[in-house]
Amino acid sequence: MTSKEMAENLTVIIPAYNEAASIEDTIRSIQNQTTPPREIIVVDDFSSDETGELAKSLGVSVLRPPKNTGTKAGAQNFALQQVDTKFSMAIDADTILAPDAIEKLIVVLEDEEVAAACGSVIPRYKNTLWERGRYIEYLFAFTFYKPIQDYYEKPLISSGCFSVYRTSNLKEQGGWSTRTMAEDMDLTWSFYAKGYKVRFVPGAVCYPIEPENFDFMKKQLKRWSHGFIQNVMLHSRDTSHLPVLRSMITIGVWDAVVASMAYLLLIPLLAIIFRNPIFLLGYIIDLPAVMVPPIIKGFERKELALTLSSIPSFFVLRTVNCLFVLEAVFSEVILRKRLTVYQKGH
Amino acid sequence: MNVGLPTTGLGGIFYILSGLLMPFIELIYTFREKSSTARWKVVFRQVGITMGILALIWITSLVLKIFIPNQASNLIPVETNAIYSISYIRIVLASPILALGTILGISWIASLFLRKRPAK
Repeated sequence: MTSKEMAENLTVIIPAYNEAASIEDTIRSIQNQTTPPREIIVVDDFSSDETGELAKSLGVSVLRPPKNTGTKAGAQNFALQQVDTKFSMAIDADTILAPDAIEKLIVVLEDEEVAAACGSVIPRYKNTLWERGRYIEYLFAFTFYKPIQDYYEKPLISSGCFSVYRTSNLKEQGGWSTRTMAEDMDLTWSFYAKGYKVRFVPGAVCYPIEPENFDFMKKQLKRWSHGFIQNVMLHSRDTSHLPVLRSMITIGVWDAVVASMAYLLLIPLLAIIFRNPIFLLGYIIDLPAVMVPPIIKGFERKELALTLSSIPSFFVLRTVNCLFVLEAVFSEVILRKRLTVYQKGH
Repeated sequence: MNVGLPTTGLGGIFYILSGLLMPFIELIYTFREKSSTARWKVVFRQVGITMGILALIWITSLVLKIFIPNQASNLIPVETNAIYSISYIRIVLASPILALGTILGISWIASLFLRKRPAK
């Protein structure tokens, strides 16, 4: 089956809550694909702006639940009931796709064992400190970590902003779960637990709008940190028979906790105890390791100057991230206080 | 979304080692006729990036040695002699690898108790 034939059997679901500013770009980028999908469904999740009307004017199906579903997963599941195509795709309402993104991504689902696939993510705007920090984080992760994870057949997450699924597998899971704050991670690990494969396709690129200020960023970091810890606790048993995934999760948890504590406590403490500022080099000692993958990708994308000038922002974002990770561990593991309210932060 | 802090700590070492292992695994796949040019391209690219990271880490250590030559010795106990100092540095360098091995070992042991087969 060619990718064009596969796309003719594809429904794209776009959950949207007050996305009037970005929904048009998202829909047009899907309609202008080299292999357009059979159907695009926008779930207007009880928006108070023009999201639904704008989507309708572009000729796509618009569903409006009787009340706000409360989560992205809830809105996606509302649309999933209507899907009768073999493949389903999730795209965020603030995300646009490269013109050949669907063509490149969907083809890996020819392998019947593959339940989901995701592409590369590059922030659409790179203006503020937070956007630039995220830009380097993504260049690093999607150039170095993710291809290695894919080689070992265990991409850690099929990103929620742009992923394709085999509809039967998705429905078998009950759609996107609302039991954690990271529905994409939950779904990916659930697929692995059932013995299915998930793939990463670097050439399929999407461009989401990343948090441009601290207010949005803190909501996203909180949701992601809590979502990660919730998934680790939820899937500790059903992923224990998968050595590669188990190792990645273990190392992820270790780094999230220990590296965060080292960043926020150990480094300044050592500098004070030994009265030696050399310990503060610990904050940037891995600068060379950070630089290599983004510089390679930045060069390929003809964005080398932007990449180099954005590297300092990454270190700020990383330090701030430590606070949210530790807060999530303390809250979810020690206090047993789960984050259950989904706060939109792009 | 990303898990943890990219490049910090043991995660970085884990992915560097995983990257360095790729050509050996691919060789096995090649002997079993399960490899392809596309797969080797991925392997070469990732190994290249990994080697680049290692080279820059090495260069950084050289630069640090030149610009702050006395700092490392200040952190070694005063009564040590030169031979002990070398061992001390080796231990410091080997400790992340040992830590990584220990954590993965503990995770493997824990999995024996947690194991639950998939219900596919």
